[in-house]
Amino acid sequence: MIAFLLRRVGGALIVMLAVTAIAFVMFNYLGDPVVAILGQDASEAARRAVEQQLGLDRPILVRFFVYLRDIAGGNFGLSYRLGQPVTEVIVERLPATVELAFSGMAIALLIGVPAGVFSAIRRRSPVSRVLLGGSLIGISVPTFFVGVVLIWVFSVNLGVLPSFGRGQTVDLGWWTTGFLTSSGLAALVLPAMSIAVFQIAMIMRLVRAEMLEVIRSDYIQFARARGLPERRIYFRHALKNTLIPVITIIALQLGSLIAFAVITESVFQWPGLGLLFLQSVAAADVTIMSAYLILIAGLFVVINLAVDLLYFAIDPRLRARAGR
Amino acid sequence: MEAIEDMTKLNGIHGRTPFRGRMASGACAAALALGMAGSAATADTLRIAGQGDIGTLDPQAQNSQITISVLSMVYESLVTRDEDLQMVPSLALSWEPVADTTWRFELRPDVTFHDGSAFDAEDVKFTIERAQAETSQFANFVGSIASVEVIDDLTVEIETAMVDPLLPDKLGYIMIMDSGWAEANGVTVPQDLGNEENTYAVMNANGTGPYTIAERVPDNRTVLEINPDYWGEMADDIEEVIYLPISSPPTRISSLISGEVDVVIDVPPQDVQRLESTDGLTVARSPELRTIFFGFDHASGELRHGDAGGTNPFQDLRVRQAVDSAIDADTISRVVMRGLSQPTAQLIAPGNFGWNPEGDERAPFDIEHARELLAEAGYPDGFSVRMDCPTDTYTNPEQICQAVSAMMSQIGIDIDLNLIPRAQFIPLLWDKDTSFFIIGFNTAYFDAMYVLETLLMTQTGEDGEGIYNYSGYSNPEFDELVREARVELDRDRRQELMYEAFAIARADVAYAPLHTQTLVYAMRDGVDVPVRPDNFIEIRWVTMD
Repeated sequence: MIAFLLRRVGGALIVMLAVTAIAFVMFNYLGDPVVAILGQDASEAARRAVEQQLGLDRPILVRFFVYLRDIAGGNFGLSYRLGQPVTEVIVERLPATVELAFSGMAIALLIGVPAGVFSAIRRRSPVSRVLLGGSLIGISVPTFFVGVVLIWVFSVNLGVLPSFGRGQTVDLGWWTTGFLTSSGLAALVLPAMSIAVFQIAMIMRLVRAEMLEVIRSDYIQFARARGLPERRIYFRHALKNTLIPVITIIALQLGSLIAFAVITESVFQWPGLGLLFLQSVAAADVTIMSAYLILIAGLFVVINLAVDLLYFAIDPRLRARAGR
Repeated sequence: MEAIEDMTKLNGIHGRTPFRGRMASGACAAALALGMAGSAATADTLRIAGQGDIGTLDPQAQNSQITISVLSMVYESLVTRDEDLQMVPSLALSWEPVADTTWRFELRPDVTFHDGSAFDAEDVKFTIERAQAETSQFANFVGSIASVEVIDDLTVEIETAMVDPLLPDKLGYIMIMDSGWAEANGVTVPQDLGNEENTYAVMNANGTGPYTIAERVPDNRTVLEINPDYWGEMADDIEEVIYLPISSPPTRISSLISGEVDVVIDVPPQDVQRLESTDGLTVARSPELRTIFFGFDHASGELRHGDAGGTNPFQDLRVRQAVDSAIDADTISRVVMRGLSQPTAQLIAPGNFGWNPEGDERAPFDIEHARELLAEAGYPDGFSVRMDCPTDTYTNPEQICQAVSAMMSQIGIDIDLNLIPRAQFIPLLWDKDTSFFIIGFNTAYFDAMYVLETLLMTQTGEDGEGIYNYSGYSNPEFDELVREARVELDRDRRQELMYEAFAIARADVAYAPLHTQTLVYAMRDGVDVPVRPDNFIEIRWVTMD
């Protein structure tokens, strides 16, 4: 078990180092941070001065090792665009993204799972057909379009929900939350709906497929033969057994919601990590971009590690092999 | 001073009673219950939405339009502009040259900073020296200053290294900080980004202006609260101003239509017509102090990017004339800009001192003539060249470049269009690694000298000559005229010299001018935000009912 864990952690470290190197090199070709700092009208002398200030005049390898040394000490540097420490900026934006991702996922589960179960057990019902058709649309329509349509309907025409921002937030010291104010909750609705659309469709189709499989299996047939009530068969026995693959996928999806909420965040000016990343790209704010990518890589490494460990705990065959 | 008196009158008309304020907030109650009002909006709040956020609260750390525009609500400079863009007193009461290279400024008495400390000559000296620091982005504006001498509490004398008729104009961009506050908080120089140190002035401010910073959440909102002790005149007394960056254009426009913001700057041209026909909204426009034109590489012997048989066609005047005649600026204005541009033959916009009312006639759009010129120059079959074009600065640069590429192909110039983000485009200019490019240029301090000096003079590396001359254009006769004009204290003579210099650059087709942009603000009825041609939101002129 410990050997397995060590191997996994070692692998994760190598992945992180590779990501750091790639991020660092890539961003050096994305654009010049001096532009963001000085703007178009900048004299040669002013540019040299800034380059020297930031150490951009040193060879890339030297800069990379200085960077590695700094981040090993927990210092990600200053954002060139905002003049604030990168760590501070990221910690400040993280709650917005996490709350959005979790809300979106909660909506997706609340709608997607029941819809999936329904369309599996009432396959021929017209409602199921509508649900399936709708889910196809949900999967194919681009997120930004969903966002713009939601704004058009709920903000511009009905005037009931805000189209941008996060509303009033409450500062809990280490976390700012929008869950505790009415304007914060109202501001959450449209962006959360917008990222939920794809997830609803995906979860629904996944649950449906798994359910159809399970319903055909022997133990459900036996349960039916025993004369158990329908609801008990479907929700107690069938659904429970479909959830293992569903949970795995959801965990990974949650990771990608946190990592790639860029589009939704920019449509709704949601002040989270995705928006931060987008604005950093436009300004060639290399320090933020690198830290962000490292953070996201870390997130996926942790999720994958957790999933691996979960399998290890669930699947006796893995344990047996590790024990040999 | 006249304008200030006018504003006093305006204040009388638009001044609100608290009662009316309360009525309006009652009407908003329903919306508030639904969370519509967004961030802490009361009836007496002006919410302004723009494309990007301000970068810092340090007034000498970042020379970007929106940063200095918002900071000018908090900090003030010695001089400012009235509604006719003429220089008027702000923190200085008067100024005059007392010798060829000495300017004396009499300062305004009884002005206090937000923290209560008095404004005096020491603060002026301190701030000018701060602006000269290595980490300052405003060194250009104070580059001519040799020393600042405090004569008494309310008088300073500024010594310049050479005659500088534009010194007061330049000081309009230097926002005065309190020397005591800066010392107490360790911000006597602007932030050094390489030093990885977070400084106090990035998130805190202490100016003399009509507003104080109440809250700042980068990329989210900046909340300004009225300074009840403000010395100056205001057209209105709006209690709270919130600046909101909303980067997605459709969302920005939607938020105005749905009433979540009161004013939108950075209005996309394609939305203007729709906004004009929307009930309850007003669209205000003004020609911007920014001109868009095309630049050539005059210097290289061979095209850096393109193929013209080992030559650089742009070194031939006839080729540049051909390009100039083949650009159909009227069509671009009508189709691409939807009327939101004014075709021009000059490199500066109206409103600048040095803009020539008689110099705006473009070379006639004439494809045949352009082809003949190319043939005469030895390129009957044209040539191919890369055009560098940024996608995320200026208005509609991508579509303009596409249109001009098509126009060039009509005379046989085959354009390889290189569309890149600004962060990659500008380094190309800096490195002079471009053969053909689009560029937008604003004048600083409403005076043509900035363009003549920095963009058109031969790059010598001295006294700011040609520091932004990315094209390598060089004409000794032109340089001489500009050197004469830059030290001329007589306004009329200076204008004459600038006209002459521009005529030379025009005859040389140093650049191929295209148009001046039109600035558009959209706002709800009842709010009046005058559009200043330099895109400064002058909060002192804004009224709201």
